[in-house]
Amino acid sequence: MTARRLILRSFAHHVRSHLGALAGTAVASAVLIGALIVGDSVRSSLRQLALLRLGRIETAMSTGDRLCRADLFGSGPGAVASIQHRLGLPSRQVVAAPVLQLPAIAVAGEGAARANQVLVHGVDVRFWKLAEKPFVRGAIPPGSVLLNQPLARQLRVEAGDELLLRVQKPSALSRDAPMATEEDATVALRLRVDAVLSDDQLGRFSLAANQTPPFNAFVSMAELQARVDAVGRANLFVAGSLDTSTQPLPMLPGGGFVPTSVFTNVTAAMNLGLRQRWRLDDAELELRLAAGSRVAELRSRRVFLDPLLDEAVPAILANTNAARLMPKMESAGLLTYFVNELRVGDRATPYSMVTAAAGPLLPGELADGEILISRWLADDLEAKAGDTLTLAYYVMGTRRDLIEQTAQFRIKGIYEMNTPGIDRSLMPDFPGMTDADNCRDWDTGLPIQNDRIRPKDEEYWQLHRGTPKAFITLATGQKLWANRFGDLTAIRFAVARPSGAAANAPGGLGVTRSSADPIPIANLGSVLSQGLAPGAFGMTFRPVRDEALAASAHSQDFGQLFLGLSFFLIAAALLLVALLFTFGVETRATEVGTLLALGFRPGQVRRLLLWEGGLVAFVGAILGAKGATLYAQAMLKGLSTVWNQAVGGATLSFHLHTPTILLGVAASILVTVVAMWFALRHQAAQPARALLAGGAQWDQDSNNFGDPVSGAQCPTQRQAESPMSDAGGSLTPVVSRISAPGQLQVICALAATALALGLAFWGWQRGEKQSAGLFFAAGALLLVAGLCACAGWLVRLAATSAKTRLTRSSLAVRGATRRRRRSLAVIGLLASGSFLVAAIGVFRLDAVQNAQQRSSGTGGFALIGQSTQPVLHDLESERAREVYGLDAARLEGMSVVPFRVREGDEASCLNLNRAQEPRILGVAPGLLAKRSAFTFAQAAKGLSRFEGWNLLVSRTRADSDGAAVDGISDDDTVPAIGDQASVVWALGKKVGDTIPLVDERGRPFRIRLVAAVANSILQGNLIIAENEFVKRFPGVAGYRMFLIDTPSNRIDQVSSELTRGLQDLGLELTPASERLAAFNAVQNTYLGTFQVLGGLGLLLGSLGLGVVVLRNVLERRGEYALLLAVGWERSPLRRLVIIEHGVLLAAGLAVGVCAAFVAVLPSVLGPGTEVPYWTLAWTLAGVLLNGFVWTWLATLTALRGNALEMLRNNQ
Amino acid sequence: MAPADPLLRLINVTKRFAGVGDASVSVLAGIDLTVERGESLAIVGPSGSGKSTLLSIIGTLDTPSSGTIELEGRNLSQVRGAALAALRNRCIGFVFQAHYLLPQCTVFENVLVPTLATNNEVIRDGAPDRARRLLERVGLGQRLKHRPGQLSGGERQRVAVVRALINEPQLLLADEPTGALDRVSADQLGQMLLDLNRETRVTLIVVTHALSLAGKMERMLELRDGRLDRPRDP
Repeated sequence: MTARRLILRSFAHHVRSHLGALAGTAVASAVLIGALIVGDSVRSSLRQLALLRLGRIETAMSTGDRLCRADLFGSGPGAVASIQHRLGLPSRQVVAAPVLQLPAIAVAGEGAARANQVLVHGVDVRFWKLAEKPFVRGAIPPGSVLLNQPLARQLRVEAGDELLLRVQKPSALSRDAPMATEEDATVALRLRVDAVLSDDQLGRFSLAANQTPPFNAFVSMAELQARVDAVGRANLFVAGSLDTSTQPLPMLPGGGFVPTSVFTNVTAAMNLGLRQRWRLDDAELELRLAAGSRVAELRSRRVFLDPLLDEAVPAILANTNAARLMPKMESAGLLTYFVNELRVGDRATPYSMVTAAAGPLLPGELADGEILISRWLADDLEAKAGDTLTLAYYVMGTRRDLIEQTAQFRIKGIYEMNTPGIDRSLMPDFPGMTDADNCRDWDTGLPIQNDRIRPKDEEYWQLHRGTPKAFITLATGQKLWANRFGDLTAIRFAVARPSGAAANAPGGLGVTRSSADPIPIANLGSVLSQGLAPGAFGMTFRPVRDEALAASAHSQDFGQLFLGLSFFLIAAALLLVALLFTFGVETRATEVGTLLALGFRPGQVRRLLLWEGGLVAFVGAILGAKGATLYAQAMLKGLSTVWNQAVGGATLSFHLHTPTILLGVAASILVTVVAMWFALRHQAAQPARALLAGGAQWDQDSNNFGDPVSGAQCPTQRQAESPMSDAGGSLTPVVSRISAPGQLQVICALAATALALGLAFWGWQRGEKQSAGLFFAAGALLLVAGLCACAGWLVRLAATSAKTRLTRSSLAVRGATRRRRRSLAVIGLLASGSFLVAAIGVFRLDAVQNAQQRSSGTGGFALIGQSTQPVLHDLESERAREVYGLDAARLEGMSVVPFRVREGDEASCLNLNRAQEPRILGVAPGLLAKRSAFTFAQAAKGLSRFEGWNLLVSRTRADSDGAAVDGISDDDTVPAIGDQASVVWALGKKVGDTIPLVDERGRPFRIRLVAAVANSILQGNLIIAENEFVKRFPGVAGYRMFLIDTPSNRIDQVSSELTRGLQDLGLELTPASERLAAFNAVQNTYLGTFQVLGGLGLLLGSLGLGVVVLRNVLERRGEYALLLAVGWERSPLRRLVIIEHGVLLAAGLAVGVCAAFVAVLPSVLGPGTEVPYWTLAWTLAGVLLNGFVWTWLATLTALRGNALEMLRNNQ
Repeated sequence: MAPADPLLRLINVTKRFAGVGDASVSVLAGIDLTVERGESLAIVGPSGSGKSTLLSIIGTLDTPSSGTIELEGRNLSQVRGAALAALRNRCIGFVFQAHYLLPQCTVFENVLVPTLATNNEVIRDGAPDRARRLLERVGLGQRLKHRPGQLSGGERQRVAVVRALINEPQLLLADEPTGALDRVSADQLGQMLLDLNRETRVTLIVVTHALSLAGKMERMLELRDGRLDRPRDP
């Protein structure tokens, strides 16, 4: 005989009495495991969506606004294979596909349907090889377009229909740059829908980690390239492995393979291949001969050279010269700028080129502050050496504000027009100017007054084009004209002069070189492309598949979320388990007493019972695991339908993972055993004698172990009072000194009430939104007070003597004191449940309330807008009204805060994925600071949240030793502000943390979260100062997000006017309160889910009441039989039982509802808040009815049969 | 040779229970009792006189309101918790009027249940053999695998007696052991108890209404008005 055998025997023998606990365990397990399955399913669904949007793509390189050669990796798969082969990598079928990806807006049905934020992808047959299910025809016919399903739905089109795509034309020169033209910024494509792609045909293609599919349109790459003047160019390269031979690929439900990264080095291989194959042309650089083949010039279609070249090129040349790989070369940079006028005295020459150059490129000696002018200019200005010449020129402010500035120089000298090396090639290819036949045809972004152009100016243009009319030093020129795009327009190279010649002497590079050697341009080009890293131009392949999987793996944990939402349901089930298990144990009182009498310690007896309970828990958990799949499917169905707002519209599918089930089963067993342990704590603590006395009529709570034969008191209490046991001590003497029965509970109730009133008063005084939490806490304390009061009432009632008048009702109520612990458990469960269900609504977020206040989540703004194409002008300016055709009268009173946008992952509650690279916005901090817009919830350590938006201003604080400490920024750290929800939930960070990023030029930098705003429409983004933004992302032109102030009575007018005027830019405006409501809907949906699940828990709790009733009545069948035997009728007897237990039900609900009322007081009294009275009323009525029904059924069941039968059964 | 110390000694033991209000009911009003090792003692008395209470106190299932109880010279009021349970397990065997056998266990297993409460390897290792021997002794050698539901009342009570003796206690307490049996079974059980007392020298204290059984004990005392005394003549 072993303890294990005893446990197994006991379990088998008493299995019927365990059925109830088994059922309760199964319910708790089903909910617990089901919640974990939901978490798994969400995570797996996101993973599946991530893999769907990438197909077989493993790595990608986006070059942004920089267009590379589309055949960078060759025109077939063989090119990539050769990369692998040369690198010694295993042979795999890797496909690299170029894509020309451009933003667009789509219109169909003659404008009846419209879609903004469309991405147009120009692709060829290689792209489709990377789909799980390739597009059958491969090539897209010219004039055709493939749409993905969301776009087709938005436009309400199908195959064969026509639509218009307005596509942004790529511009080599950023449209924010000086001289950039605004004309011809988009091109319209009228296309026929060829097919609608499914998700596994790369219909969902996107590199952003978001479960919401983008609007995708696919066209023939060749056609798109031709239409946007980008023939042979691409700005996105994707690659992936097609090799499926090494391992079988798991199937997706419904067919298709889930590709796994069988070749993990695709990214590394592509980067190595890029390094080997890239050319200067891919960075939009061009090396060409100038000045009669004696000089080579490095220039760019982007006009300004990337700043990194300033230092990189000389360094490359130095290494090359040292290695003697070719004739020794020397280089010098130059910056040619378009100036408005050159003036000496009252004579002026308009619209000319001036070159700022380094020494070797100058036609003569020059110092800063001096200028060399051409003979032509000298004649035109009648100027001579020594005169003062004034340059007037434009620089670009923010929002394309042109600011005219001037600078004065002393004329140092005059050079002749035929000076070698000074020719039209010194002017960069300014778009809209280089190819113009005459000055009046110039089409630049600068205002040209044609009436200032003289015939001699036209003649100059005909003869000399952009040949500079003057030279200044490079240092001076860069000081005047350097901008975020660069500070050079060209670098010139020449074979170095013989030793002895001064290094920077004028005339070095292409000027007066009589015996200069020809330039080995091919070698030079090769040297430069090998020496420059593509990564320095932001060209690098990223492991997008790994990033996508990481984003889904670290997504919001719905398992934990649903555990939290379901906790009351689980708690109710566990309480039921504890109750039922205890009931089962109580029927074995004599068995327990026997074991105690045989010398078992109480702890040993409890352990035996607990092991038995563990078996119950194990079986229940296994059963619950089966039910868990149903629960999870129901929850997922809810998330896909009525609770869809919580998941941003994502479609979630059911996924089952064995480890999760096993974990859930283990957790279920653990929590059930813990619940049983709590219930067993007081078992076997009664004296063996009492337990052996045929189930003594004890009441554990009063320690009044009444021997039914002698009426004598339980020895346990007496032991505490007897001298023999005084040495041991016990609480009983202390408790008894408090004297009146129930007084301790009353004191606790009063204390909790006082605390609650204090909190409520404090909350009322604060009058802020945060008072919701205080009132909730007050309500919770009142709940505790109510329960203490009920406990005290039961104790006092039990101690009431027979002197009070005994009536049927008082007899019924007195019955509730028989099992006080049980009664209190039922009251507590019902009170807690009704409190939670009713009170949780206080945390509902209301977007409308106080929406016009600056401190609200809308920042006081009326509208929030986003455009597909950049808005280049200040929407409040005259220029904008001109360009966009806006009616000033309709926009009266409007003011705008514009944001630059660098696309990334949406870091908001609507994106279930963990944002890997969040979207970045750039704003002038002063525009928000002066409005004191939004409420700051938190600032980083050492900073004050009251500084608000000024925290975005970069500065470094130093300690006494001069070291940067708690610095807001250093050179590589940029302060940022985000919405608190974005920071905490979407990014998984906290205020003060830093996030590493890479800028447009491939340089790493960090964003430091210096503050967070509370619950705002800025969710989803991180905001930095505009000057930092343009420094890191100079290629991002214009503004694409807007917060708009307008008088409340003109919102519709302003909205319609702006939408109309900027429709070609795809502007979409939304009331700010509506946007906030969409974010709030996530939290509000979770609260609603909690209330639903809490309501289920409440119903389960009322089932528990029914079980308690049944148990109580069965225990007292003998008494009831006696009452029948002495003349009571059955009907009043049933009423007696129902009243006794109805009191518990009523007390529980009353305590819970009263406490909840206090918790929701701010919502009830606050303006504009809708309290769902009817929903709550129906829920509580349902609980009341449910409880009553169970009570009634239990009473009927227990009191069936005649008196004699009941008396016999009781024996 | 000095006489051996008595096994059990009660000195002025009282027991009171709470009544209505502040009043209390005195059940034992000062019990003085000495029981020698190997002795058989019967305690008789009218119903409600406190016999079972006295036996429960002796068997450490209850505690006295005052007074001292010494078992093998140890003052039981100073023994608590685990030590008390161990003492009850090793030194005292209890037989109740109701057998309190575990219905889910066989006869053999029921007998061995007390051995699960101890960690003493010697006791546990030898228990199965002792159980078979004792069950054989009481005539149940062929019923080892039977469940309590398959036995008669007398047989169940015999199993309960063997269970009480499995750990070789010094003291065997029997509270109305024959109260639920018919006359024949009662006589058989009573005789069995006496035989075991003689054979094993286990000290036997029996509370009983049955004078026939009481008369066979070496000593008989009557509990009357809360005190133990020689029995009155009928």
